[in-house]
Amino acid sequence: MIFKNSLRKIKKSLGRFLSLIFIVMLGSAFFSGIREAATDMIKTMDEYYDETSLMDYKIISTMGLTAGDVESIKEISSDLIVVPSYSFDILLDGDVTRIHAITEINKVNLVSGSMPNDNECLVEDGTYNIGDKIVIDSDNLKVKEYTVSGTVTSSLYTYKSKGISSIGDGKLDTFIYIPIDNFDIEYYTEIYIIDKNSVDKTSYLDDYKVVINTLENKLKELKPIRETIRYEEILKEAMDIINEAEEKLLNEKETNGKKLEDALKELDENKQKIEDGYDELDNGKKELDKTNKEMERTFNDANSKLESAKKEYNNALKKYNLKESELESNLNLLNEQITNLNNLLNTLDPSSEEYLTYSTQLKILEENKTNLELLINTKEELIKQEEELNKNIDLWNTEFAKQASIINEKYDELDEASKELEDGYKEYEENYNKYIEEITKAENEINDAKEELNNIEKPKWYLLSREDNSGYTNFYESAVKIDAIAAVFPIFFMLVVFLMSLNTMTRMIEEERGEIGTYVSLGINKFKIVLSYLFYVLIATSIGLSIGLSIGYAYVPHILYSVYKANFVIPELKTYAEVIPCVSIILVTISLMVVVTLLTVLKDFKYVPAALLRPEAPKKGKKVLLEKIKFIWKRLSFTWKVTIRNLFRYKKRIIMTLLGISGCTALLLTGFGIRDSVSSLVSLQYDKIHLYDTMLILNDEQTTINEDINKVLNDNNINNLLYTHMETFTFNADNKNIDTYLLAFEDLSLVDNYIKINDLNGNKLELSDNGIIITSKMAELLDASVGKSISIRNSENELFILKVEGICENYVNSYIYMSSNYYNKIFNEITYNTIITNVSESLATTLMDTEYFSNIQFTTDSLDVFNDIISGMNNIVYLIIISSSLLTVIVLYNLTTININERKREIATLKVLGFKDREVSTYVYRETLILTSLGIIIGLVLGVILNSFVLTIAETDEILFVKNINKLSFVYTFLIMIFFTVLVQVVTHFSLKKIDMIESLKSVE
Amino acid sequence: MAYIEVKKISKTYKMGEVLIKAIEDISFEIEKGELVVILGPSGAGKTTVLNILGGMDTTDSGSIIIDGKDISKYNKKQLTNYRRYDIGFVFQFYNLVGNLTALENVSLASQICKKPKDSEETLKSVGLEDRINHFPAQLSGGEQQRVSIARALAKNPKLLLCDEPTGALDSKTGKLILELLQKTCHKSKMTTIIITHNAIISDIADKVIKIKNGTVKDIIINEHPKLVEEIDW
Repeated sequence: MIFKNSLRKIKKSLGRFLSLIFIVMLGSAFFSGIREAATDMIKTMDEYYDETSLMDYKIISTMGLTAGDVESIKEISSDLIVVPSYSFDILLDGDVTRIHAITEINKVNLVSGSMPNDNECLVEDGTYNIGDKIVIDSDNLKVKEYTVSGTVTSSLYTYKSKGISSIGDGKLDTFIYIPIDNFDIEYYTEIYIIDKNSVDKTSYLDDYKVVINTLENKLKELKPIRETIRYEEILKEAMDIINEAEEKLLNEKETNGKKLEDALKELDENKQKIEDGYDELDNGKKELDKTNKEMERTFNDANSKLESAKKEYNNALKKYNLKESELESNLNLLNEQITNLNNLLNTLDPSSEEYLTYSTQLKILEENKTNLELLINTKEELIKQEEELNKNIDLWNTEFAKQASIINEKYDELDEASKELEDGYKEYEENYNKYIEEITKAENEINDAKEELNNIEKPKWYLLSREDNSGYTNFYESAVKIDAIAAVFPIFFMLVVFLMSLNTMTRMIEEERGEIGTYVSLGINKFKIVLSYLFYVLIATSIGLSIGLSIGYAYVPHILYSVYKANFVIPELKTYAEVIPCVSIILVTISLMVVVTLLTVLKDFKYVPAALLRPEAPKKGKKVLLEKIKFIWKRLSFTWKVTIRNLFRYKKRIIMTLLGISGCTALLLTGFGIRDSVSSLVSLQYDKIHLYDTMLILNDEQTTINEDINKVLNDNNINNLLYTHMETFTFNADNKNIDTYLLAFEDLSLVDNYIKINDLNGNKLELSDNGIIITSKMAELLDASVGKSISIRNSENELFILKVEGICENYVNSYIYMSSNYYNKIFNEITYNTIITNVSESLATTLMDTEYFSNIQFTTDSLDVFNDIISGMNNIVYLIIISSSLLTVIVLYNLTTININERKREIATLKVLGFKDREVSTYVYRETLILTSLGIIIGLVLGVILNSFVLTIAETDEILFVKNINKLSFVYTFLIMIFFTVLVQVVTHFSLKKIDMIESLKSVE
Repeated sequence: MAYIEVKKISKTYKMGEVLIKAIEDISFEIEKGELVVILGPSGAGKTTVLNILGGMDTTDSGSIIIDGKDISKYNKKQLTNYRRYDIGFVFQFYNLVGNLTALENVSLASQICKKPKDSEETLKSVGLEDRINHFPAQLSGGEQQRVSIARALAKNPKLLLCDEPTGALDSKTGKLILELLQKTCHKSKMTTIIITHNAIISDIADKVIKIKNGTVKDIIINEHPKLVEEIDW
């Protein structure tokens, strides 16, 4: 019967019932949704990490890693999965691409296609297409050409910006996975480690961190040992190489040196031979000449003999008066005469005178003939002799020429040989020089190598946990931290919801007071009466809860998650809906509602039934305080007096309205405030404080300004170069190690161009040689003030004490600024590794092509990251604004309806008295408007406080939020609230119009 | 022509599927300054008549001419003005605004009228000069009803409509209220209609209209209406 009655109640006051459902629904949806979102997001990601076996730790080393390293890590614990792998960065089509090996840790998530075979690869989803051929021209690979077999996502790269690289523009653009066997690298480039104990722990949460910290400590113990071993290995290897080289050099000296020596000896011998040859030839030539001379002399003698004979002959000729040519004819003539004479004599008596004359004649003639014949003989002899002489001369001359040409030939031969010898010497000299040069070079090289050996840096291990992965951390930072902001809201929300339902229930039970009285007087068990109300409330609550929780679990996390999906490559959100939080929400809500009901119902049981049957005594009218100030009160118009009096009549309503409205206003303002502070953060940090565009990271640290670098930069129109030593340190605050960037500047006069170092009042601070200036958040965390000292540690964990000389305005990250002189005082001699300047992005490639820069960091990149976070924030803010607005509407509607319901009779009476609809509305609304306005004003003040509270909670160690809210946000909030107030009043105006005047005639129930 | 002429008015209400005839063909006339009692048992239709007369409800047919104007043809806005300027209403349960003092309750009504009477004077005229600044909760039932009457009178209406004005009061106080109404009616020629189920009250009226089952059963004109102190219930 009682329950039937509660069902009837529902039917009778459907509006109230629905509003109760709606309130519970909204509250539980918002509360459960936001709580669930954080859980779902973390768990979804955790599951993704587990599915893909994301490494807990990655070890990289400056000198590569060895199988020995792998083994020694495995020895830490049998729970560890240790997998060595390879990766390297390369520019492909202008994109900085990291080539990874496919391993069973950091598994890829296949989006399409299939796992690759030998000459195939996997690419990031959205880059290449399946079947594309990619040429990876690197010595690190055995095979250079790959066919894309599938596209993947990777839990290593969940964030849009994938991290940094030492090549290209320094930003990693994409990644490619290839089978591990294709790598051709001497050492492992990384070792992935998973602790099996961490798998069932939820990433990001403390349980996980505990496991990981244990592992980290063990790895840290191992680190120096392995570093030393590796160092010694490398040293030994280097020593071996040097020794080998030295040995080789020695051999070289021995063999080549000997060869050269032999060659020289041979050359010298040849030289001697040639010289001997020349001597011999010279002698021969001399002899020949001598012979020639002798011969000539002989010939000359012969000739002169011949000549004198010729002279005698000629004299004889002359004496006989003969001509050489007439000799023969004279002889013939003489012979004839002789013959003739003989013939004559023969005829003459030998004793005759005549005979005697003739015989004497003949004798003379005979004598002449003998002389002539002698002459002819002499002539012939002379001719013969001359001929012979000439012949002999010719013979000799021929012989001489022959001998001479032989000698000359021999000379030529020797000349050639000596020329060859000369070349030989030249060659020898060249070879010798080369040999010396080479040996010197080799010796130098060995010396250099030896020197280098002394300078070989110890290999350094880097232990990188998941937290060093930008995707992993950013997801947490931007998702979960924003949830921390959102988490403040449900509490506020629930408070307002609780108050609203309290209000509704109170009103309901007051209205049904008579009914309760009737039941009590009929002797019905009070318990049953209470039950009938509880039943009513529980139906509303359960319906509200089931709708609310469904919406909360099903939609709110997805709305929040969709915000992140834009910036992350992450799997679909899974809803976990854990029992305990769900049940606790149900229990809390139900018990709240039960408490509300009991509070209101039990109050009525204090009265005797008869009293309950009578209408509740109307609230006594009371003069308000203001009336005592006659001076003001008199001046108020009648309607204002009524309004003011009415305002103070229902104190509970005032409180409710003020609480509800101010709560909603505060929520709204906080929503806007968060957006303001986050978006102003960027402009404050990057437009007002860090003005530089670029940090050029130098390949080699410079001890002083490098003119070559300056020239390159100046040639590209990049000026005002601020050489800076930049190093990351950590400081300890709240038991956490927090990163801070130390910047030591070469030229203090340039600093103001790039970084505005101002104190919190905006006054410029100057760096001195005696201390540092730190950023405000860091000062706050360290509780440092001017004049105090702070301690920081470098990556080697060495401790340094620095004196604080100033605290400056800063919003993102922590910085330590100092002069190079102070740096020199505290640390070693300063080296500059960074140039702060302004470079347009188009010059990046040009500069990276020079040998000087290892990386170029653009401020715009940091801006991009922030803008992503801000766009995420904006969505959250919209969610907050929308739900606060919804709450505002409900609160206002609820309050106004209750106000109208409570005063139905009064309103009906006013209508009977002839008040026009508009006048009736004004009569009612003036109060609401005043209360709402007052609520808004209080809410704006509350909002400022809530905003700063929420932002303080949301603040990370790296970010300092500005807690100022824009003036415009106040205006927006005010306008939105007024808009909803007016909207609700327009809607309720119609319900006011509907109030039947007959109501006024009814008896008071 | 009478000051008020009600001619053949009927009203049917629809309650779900059922049509309920509240009144049917009711006609009567009232002269200016008359004190009229509409008498009938509960459910007879007298409240419907009162609602229609008071401009709170409309008639389905017929006409109501008051001071020469047919209010049955009025639209909602005209009816509001009619209530505002022409009607003074006295409720059974006084319907005072609890948050306003007696004076303020009267002013609440008079401030919207064209020619209101002075609120304080009116309160004095109903005998509440000592109670002017009291809140309803501080007043007895009779006093509250006097404030209610003063509120109706201060509007200076053409017609004073009283819905069971004594219904919530004990007989002694009730009589005082009736006396006040009768006195006011006669003294200031205020046309007054009292609706009641109490037949005894009808003795003080100039005219009694008896209603039963939604129709006028009888109209009695008292040539010599009794004074209030002469009646007793």
